[in-house]
Amino acid sequence: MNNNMKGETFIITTGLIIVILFTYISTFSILSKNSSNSYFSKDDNKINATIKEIEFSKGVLKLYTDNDVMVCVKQTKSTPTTSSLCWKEVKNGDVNFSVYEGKTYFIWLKDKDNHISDSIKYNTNIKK
Amino acid sequence: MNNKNIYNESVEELYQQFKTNINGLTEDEVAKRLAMYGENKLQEAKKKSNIVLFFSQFNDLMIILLICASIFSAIISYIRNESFIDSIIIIIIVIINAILSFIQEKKADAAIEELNKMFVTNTYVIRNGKKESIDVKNVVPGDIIELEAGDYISADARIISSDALIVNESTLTGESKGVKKDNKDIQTTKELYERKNMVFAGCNVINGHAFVIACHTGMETELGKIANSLLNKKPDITPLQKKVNQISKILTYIIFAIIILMMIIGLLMKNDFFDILMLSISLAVAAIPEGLSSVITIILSVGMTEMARKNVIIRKMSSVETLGSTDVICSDKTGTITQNKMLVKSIYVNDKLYQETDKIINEDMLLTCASMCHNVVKEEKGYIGDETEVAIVKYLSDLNFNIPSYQRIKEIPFDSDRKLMSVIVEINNQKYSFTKGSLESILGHSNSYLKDGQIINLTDEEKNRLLEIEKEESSKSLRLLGFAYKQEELEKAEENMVFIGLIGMMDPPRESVPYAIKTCLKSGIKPIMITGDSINTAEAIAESVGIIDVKDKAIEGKNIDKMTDDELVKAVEYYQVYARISPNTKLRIVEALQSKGLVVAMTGDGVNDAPAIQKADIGIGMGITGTEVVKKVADCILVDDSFATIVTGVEEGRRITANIKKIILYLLAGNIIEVILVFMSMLLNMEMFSTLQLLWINLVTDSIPAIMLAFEKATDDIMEDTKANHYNESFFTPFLSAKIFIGAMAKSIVMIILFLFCAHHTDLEIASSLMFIYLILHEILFSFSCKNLKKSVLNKDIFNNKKLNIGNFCIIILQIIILTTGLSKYFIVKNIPIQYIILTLVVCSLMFIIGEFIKPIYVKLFKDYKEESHE
Repeated sequence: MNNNMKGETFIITTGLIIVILFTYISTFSILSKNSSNSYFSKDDNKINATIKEIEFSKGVLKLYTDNDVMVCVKQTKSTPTTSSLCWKEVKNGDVNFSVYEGKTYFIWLKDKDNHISDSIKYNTNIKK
Repeated sequence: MNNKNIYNESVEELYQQFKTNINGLTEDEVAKRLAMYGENKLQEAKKKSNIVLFFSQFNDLMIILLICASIFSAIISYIRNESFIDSIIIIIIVIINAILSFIQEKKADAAIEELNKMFVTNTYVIRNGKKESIDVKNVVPGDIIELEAGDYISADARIISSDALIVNESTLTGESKGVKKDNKDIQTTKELYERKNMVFAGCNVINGHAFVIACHTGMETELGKIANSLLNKKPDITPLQKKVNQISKILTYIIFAIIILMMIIGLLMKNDFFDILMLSISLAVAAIPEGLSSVITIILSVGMTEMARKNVIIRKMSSVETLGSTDVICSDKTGTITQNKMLVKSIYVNDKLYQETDKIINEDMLLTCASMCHNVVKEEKGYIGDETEVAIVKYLSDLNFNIPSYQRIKEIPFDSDRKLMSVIVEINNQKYSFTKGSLESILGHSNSYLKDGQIINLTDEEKNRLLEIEKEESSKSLRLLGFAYKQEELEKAEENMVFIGLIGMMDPPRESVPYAIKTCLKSGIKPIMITGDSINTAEAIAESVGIIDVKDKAIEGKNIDKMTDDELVKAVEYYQVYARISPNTKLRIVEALQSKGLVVAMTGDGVNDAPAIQKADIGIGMGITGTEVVKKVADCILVDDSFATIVTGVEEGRRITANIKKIILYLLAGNIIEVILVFMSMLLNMEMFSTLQLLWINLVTDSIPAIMLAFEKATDDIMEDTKANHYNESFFTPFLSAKIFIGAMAKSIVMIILFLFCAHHTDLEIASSLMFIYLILHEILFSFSCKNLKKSVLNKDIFNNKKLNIGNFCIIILQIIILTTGLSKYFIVKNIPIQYIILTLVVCSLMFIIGEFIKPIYVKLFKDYKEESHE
């Protein structure tokens, strides 16, 4: 087998492995998914805070909370760590994030004891 | 027409069949036959239709990956209930890229087609009783064609008459040895290679002279019959394109490896599947240098056009790189180093040496011999023929020499092995044989000499004395031709001749050559002169133009012929002038040089040069004096035949190769920064760049300056003798690798710090928007930085590439449009604090300035060539 054929075989095999892995994880992920469509955080046993309201206007996402907590808004769904860059402090009951239009964002709350809430998602397509 | 084979027919039968005769066809008849049989050319490979050509732009692994990325992005958008705008824009960008590539490919094709039009092959035909030169595509069945050594045969034709005709039929039979041909009738059925009374299209004449009648043209020829298998031949991939394909392949491996690594890390970090998927798409987009392959094709075609403008017509794209890598230029003397304008300067006759202006006594026999032994034709525009012969004819004309009326009976054409040319003529019912050639050959075939009408025995002593005279005259750059005659036993015309005298001619060097030789020597290219002339003439010319500074660097062919191959390999290290060289020796010299790993360029014009030209790494044909055969086998053609033009071609080849290195650095360094940042995004559990932003940078922001870098002028050191300027197997020298990887790492670290700072003080999306702005500015500034990889560009020449300036200006306008209009919502978030924009621009500019100042450190630490491995 010449080098070219070896190279192509490698590309095809690796590509197939990636596709199979994606398909497996994708199926697993979609079937086991039980995400909420609520725009507000569910009460968590460990965290004592809720988002009262979310406003989106002119590229700014404004969140109102009932406690001075930290809020994380990002496009990736993976739960942030407590030291993640995304955390922003709520001052005087609200906090602003610059975001893109037409995107889905995931929002988390974190209290002073570093308890992190479940995520809620907010789509900047939907005008409220 | 009857069913007999053409080669079984007599010439008279063919005259009747094709309604022609020795005076050829009339113009009206030619027009009719051209309409009936079509042009004499092989059917060309079917060109791709525009639609096929457009869709072939998508037939690229990288583009397919992008389309997959767009589909994945659409699936994610569907699942997340987002708009499909990202996927749509990705597809639009891919389509725009395909349209641009399509337009560029069409332009490149048009440029190459235009160059091909310059390769018009001509042949001599007899029409209306007159000899005329026509484009071979206008040859029709029934045309009478005149062939001589060096001619390309344009049609399958039956020989009417021939004289020492030898044809190379390797195109059809694979046999490279010449085949003797004649006009004898053949009665039986014969195989192609046995049809001695025929010549075939695509072959070439290596010796002799003939008149033939064209019987089949175009696709009806034997060549046409086998041409179908050649029609759909895949275009050759140049070494450059191979290297680029190799880069693409390596990148594909890297992409797959990183994607697998990201998946493993992502799963270990318990990241969401869609996050991993999105980052994988971003990574694939970031790593693929989408514009690279099309940019390389554009550069090569632009390079070919640019070279044509400088009188070097490139026939094969790969020659652009090879020409730039040339280590040795083996050049012919006449016409290339000299002007090919011979002037008679001295005459030796009756034991006396005269200058051309002297009154010469008893020179009639010499002048008669000189006036017979040539094939010069006087036309309105002047004398047509070999320059040496033209010089003699002009000299005779200036003397008002009264040429006796004569009838030429036979010609024994010149060939480089005999180094003689003879004619047998009849003057006043008396037959004579007149011969001219190199003194050595003439004396070798003479046994007496003529002095004041007396025939005297030619002793060895006398021969040595004559050779001494030749040596002395040759040292003044004169080329001497000996003349002899014979009156008896004319069937052996070139044996036991009577030596008459010598004519010395001079062909002055071209004015541009000494400077070109100097440039060669400075740039590490060894100029070598290979000539059929005597060693003294060769030495004198070589010394006058600067090829050699000491005379012992010249050697004669007969001494080389005594050497073994191993001895010759050692000898070619020293000698730079090769005199009295036969075609075989020329080939051996090329092989010896190549066996030392040198890239050899070889010039030539005559048919005897063809094997050496084919063997050389780059065969250079002469546009003016080159025979059709040489033009066919050469990799490139010099329009003006000048040695200086070869050096210009080398410089141009080096410039193009250097610019490709710049473009590879420019595109890959940008991509590696993106890959590092996307990988960091995964570790930081967020998205630093959207797929759309990365595509915009790779396909729009990067491609235009990359193309414009192809127009970069040569740097000052391009013709210096550095290993970097010679042939390198791979582009990835330590220097270029360090520039790409260390540079990208350093820039990525700075960008990550800036990103963390901005994210901490603002929020994630503002920080990532600032990184997008940073990358755009970086790509613009980096395109200027890539103008010179080794020296700072912060000088007055920074804006000397107008096309790059215009390209970057267009890019800036495009960025302003996408950052400030309604489109901005797809690329950056609103409300970015101005102070952070300024901070980003300042940091980016500072990095550019620092990058310029540390260029000498890279030059000092890393070699721009790969050490040869000694196994």
